[in-house]
Amino acid sequence: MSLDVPSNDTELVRNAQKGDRGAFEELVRRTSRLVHARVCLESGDPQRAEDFVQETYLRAWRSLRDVADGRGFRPWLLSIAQNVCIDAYRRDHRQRRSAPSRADSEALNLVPHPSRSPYEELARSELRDRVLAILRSLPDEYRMPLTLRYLGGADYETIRLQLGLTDGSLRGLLNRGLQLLRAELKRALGPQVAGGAP
Amino acid sequence: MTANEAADHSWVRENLLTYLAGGLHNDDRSRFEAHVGNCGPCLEDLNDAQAAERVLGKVFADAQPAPGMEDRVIQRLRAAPGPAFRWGPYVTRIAMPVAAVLMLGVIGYFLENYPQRAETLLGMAPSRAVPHPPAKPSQPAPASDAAHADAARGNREGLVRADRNGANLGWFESRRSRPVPSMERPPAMDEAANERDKAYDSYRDDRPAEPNYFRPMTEVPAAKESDPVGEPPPVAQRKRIEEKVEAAAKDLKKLQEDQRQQAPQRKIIRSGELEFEVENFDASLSQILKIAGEEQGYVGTVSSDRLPNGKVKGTIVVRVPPDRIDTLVLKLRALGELKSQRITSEDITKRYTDLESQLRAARAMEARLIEIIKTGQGKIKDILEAEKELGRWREKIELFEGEKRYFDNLVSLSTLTITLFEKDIRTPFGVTETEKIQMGLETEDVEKAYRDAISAVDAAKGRVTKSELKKLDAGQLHAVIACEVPPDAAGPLRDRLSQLGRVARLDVRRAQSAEGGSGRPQEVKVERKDTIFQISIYNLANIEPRETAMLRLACQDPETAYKSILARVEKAGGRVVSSSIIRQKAEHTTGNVAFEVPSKEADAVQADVRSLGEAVHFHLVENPDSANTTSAKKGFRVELLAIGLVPPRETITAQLAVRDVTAAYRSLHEEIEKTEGRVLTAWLNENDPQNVTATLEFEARRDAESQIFEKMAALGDIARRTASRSEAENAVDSKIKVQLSIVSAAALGPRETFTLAVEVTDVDAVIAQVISWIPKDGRKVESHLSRERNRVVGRLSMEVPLKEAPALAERIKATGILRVYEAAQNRQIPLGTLSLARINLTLSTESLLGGEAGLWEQIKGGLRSSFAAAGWSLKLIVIGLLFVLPWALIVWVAWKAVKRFRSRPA
Repeated sequence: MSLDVPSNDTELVRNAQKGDRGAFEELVRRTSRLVHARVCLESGDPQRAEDFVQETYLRAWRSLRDVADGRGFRPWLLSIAQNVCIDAYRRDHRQRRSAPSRADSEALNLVPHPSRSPYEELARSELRDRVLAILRSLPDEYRMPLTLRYLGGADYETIRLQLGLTDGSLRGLLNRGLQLLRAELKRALGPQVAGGAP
Repeated sequence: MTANEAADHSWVRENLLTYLAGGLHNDDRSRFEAHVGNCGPCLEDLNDAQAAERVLGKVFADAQPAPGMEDRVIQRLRAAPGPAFRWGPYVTRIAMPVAAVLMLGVIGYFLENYPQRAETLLGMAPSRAVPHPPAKPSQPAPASDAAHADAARGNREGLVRADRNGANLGWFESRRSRPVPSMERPPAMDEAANERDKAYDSYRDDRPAEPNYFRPMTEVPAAKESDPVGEPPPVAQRKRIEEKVEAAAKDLKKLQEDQRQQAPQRKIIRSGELEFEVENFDASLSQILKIAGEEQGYVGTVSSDRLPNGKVKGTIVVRVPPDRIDTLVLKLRALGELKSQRITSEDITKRYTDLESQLRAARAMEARLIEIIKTGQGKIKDILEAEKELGRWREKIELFEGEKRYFDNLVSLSTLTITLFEKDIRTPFGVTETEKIQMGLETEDVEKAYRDAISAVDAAKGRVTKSELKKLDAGQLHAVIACEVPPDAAGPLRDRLSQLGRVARLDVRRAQSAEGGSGRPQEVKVERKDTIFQISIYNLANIEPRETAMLRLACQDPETAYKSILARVEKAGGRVVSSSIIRQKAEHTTGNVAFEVPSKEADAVQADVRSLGEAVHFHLVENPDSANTTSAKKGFRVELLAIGLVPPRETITAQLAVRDVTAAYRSLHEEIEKTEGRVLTAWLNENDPQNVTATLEFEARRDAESQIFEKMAALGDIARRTASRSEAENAVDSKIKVQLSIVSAAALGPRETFTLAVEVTDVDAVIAQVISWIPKDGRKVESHLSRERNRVVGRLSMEVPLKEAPALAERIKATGILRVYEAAQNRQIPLGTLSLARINLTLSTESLLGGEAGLWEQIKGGLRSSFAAAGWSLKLIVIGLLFVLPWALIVWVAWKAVKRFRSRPA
């Protein structure tokens, strides 16, 4: 991070509202993983997640002036992401009604992976859905770091940056979130997935 | 485990995931690893966490974002347009009106300050330049007319600007410096420019444009004095500007001089026609002479006519130089009211030039021939030939020259034809009045009246133009006299004629006509012409009466009536036109009489005729009042009918109930005969002795009606008496028709029925007793007696006169214990003196009816209620099935459809 780039989210948002594309791009870098994680969580459809992310940022860029306060940028962005997912779901729903023969993402999931056996693939898909369900059931503040970690594959620093949190608060959130997740996993899936008792 | 180790232990547990995620640095990391290296459970925990991490990582392997996602998002964003710009709402609301006002202001300013340019922009100015034809045929073809027009306009605008306001010199200069092909510009273009200068000036100054007559080419648009607008510029600057303007004007003048010398002389014939209404022709003529002299012209021809009403109309031809014609016309306007004006000009330049060239060619030929003759070379024959040719050419030259002189004359002097007529030229000079009288005279002695009329005309010094006397069929005479008498004698003659007979028609028409024009004549004496009479004299023999009465009479004896009518007409001095009587039977006699009687007798005759019978129909016809009708007499057409042929207006239908039908029938029949009634149908049916019936249909005189009905009432009871009136046209009121049916009273049935049940000890004795009580008018209908083991039941039915029935019933009641007593009336049966009552009596030794309500009765009642309830339920079920259910279905389907429709667009 160089010196001339403003480190503060609020400042970045303000600059972007003035039309500074660089500032908005910086905001994209800082939040795209978060949005991706959120979109995955909401839609459960990783194949199209990147499309949704793009759509989210396009919408955000168009209506950036609606953000009154820079601190509210992340919640605002996430609400846009959610709307994008809902819109996509509605569109799919309509299309499915009118053209049921269309191959959708679920059907694509059933296409065998070249390297994995179909049974393994099916089991994995089922496991993923259950883990996602557990993640969705967690409180919001724990859910996002964990989602970023596992769905986004982000390291600690990335998570901190994406969530815009301080070092100490993230550690607490991660630890408590992990404990909750493992407890839930163990209860739902058994110890072989959740690992040993803490 | 030391306190330090315990703190490390819990710290490690807390930062497990942080470590795994790479969130621990330097010291923290070594502290973590150091502790895990020493602490077994922590290591195990770490391994578990790592295993779980791996599992989860594997599960979400394909959910993780593809590398470079941020870059792709950013790439995509760079292609997108910037964030939408939004005005505050109030900004839009204010900005739109402000913009509109500004735009209107700019347009207004532009129109106010640059109207010329605005017109140019709107495409109006170029159209003005178009009508001027190119003046010089030999002129080098211009690039295009429009380009020239543009150039001319550019120049002109510059000039105008410079004239009007010297301060605008910069613009003027720039316009002048445009490369204008001025030397090649034809004079017509300058002319067009001048025209439009004028138009422009008049537009700018709001003064009316001068009439756009012919403007000679010689006129030069002189540079007008500059009229500075607003603040005058400083003196030095102003002087400099004026110099420049002068230089420019000089340039232009020089240019136009050059062009004029190049152009050929135009030959134009101008002529005009004017029409004036003047007070006095001679005064106007002398005025025209004076004006023509002033304008260097002369009066060519004068011709005038005096009309019968003393007004003068004339034509004056004035010749005047063409350039004076406009001023001449202006001056002539003072003569009187200008009615019409037409000034025309004809361009004969081409013909004139052609003529000149032909003349030149002919002259050259002449010179050539003369030279041939002079040199005298060649043969004699050739020289003679040349002489001959020369003669021909000279002739041609003379012809051309004459024509040329003629054109010169026409061109040099314009011809103005002035038509003058004095005011009120249409005033009539005489008025005549004619009177026409048409008379129609009715008289008995036509021939005498005819002679008297002719002598009366003679006495009035009149002239009979036509007279005729005609004798027509049926003693009809008709005379016609047409004559003319002096107007003063017309009145007395009319009075005299009207004494010859009755004046049926009189038509007096008086008409005035003006001669020699229309309008109101002033101080003209009205000339009265002879009055024309048309008299027609005729007698009344074949004339239709104006009024004819049609009468239809129903009388007892048509024949007598017929005779008395004929006698009455004779007595009144009338005339029977036609009459007839047809007699078959006395009651079927019909007759017709048509007659005419004098009007004064008509009412008395009519009253007498009407008294002969009953007038069934009367109507009065009035013929149109024409020449062929007279009101001196009145016509009648009487139709006589025997009264039997006319139906009565009132019909009475009645039923008579009597004890003895046959006797009643006979006595009624006799009564009808006695009162001179007429029996139409009558029959008596005695087939069934118990039920004898008779029918009588008869007509009776109105005054005998009460007598007959009294008789009927004495015979029995009259029931169901109805009277109906017919509205038919031919019906008489003097008689009535009766349709009577006679029935026996016994056959009618009982009016009242008594049902009695009595418990007695000795049934037989009581029955015998009751039978003995039956009055002599009554009868026993049936009786029945049954005996069971210890029970005797007797039934007895009897008919007695109605008024005796209650008393009898009371007596029967007293014979034992009364169980049932019912009395029912039948209102269908008429109530009268002969009405009957029936008594049904049941006598029994023990209780006839059992308990108040037996078991069977109760069961029956219960069943009845149940059936009623069942029927009610069935009705409800049917309503539910056939009415409520379909509606409920429709509502349900509609609700489903709406729900489905709503969820779709979401």
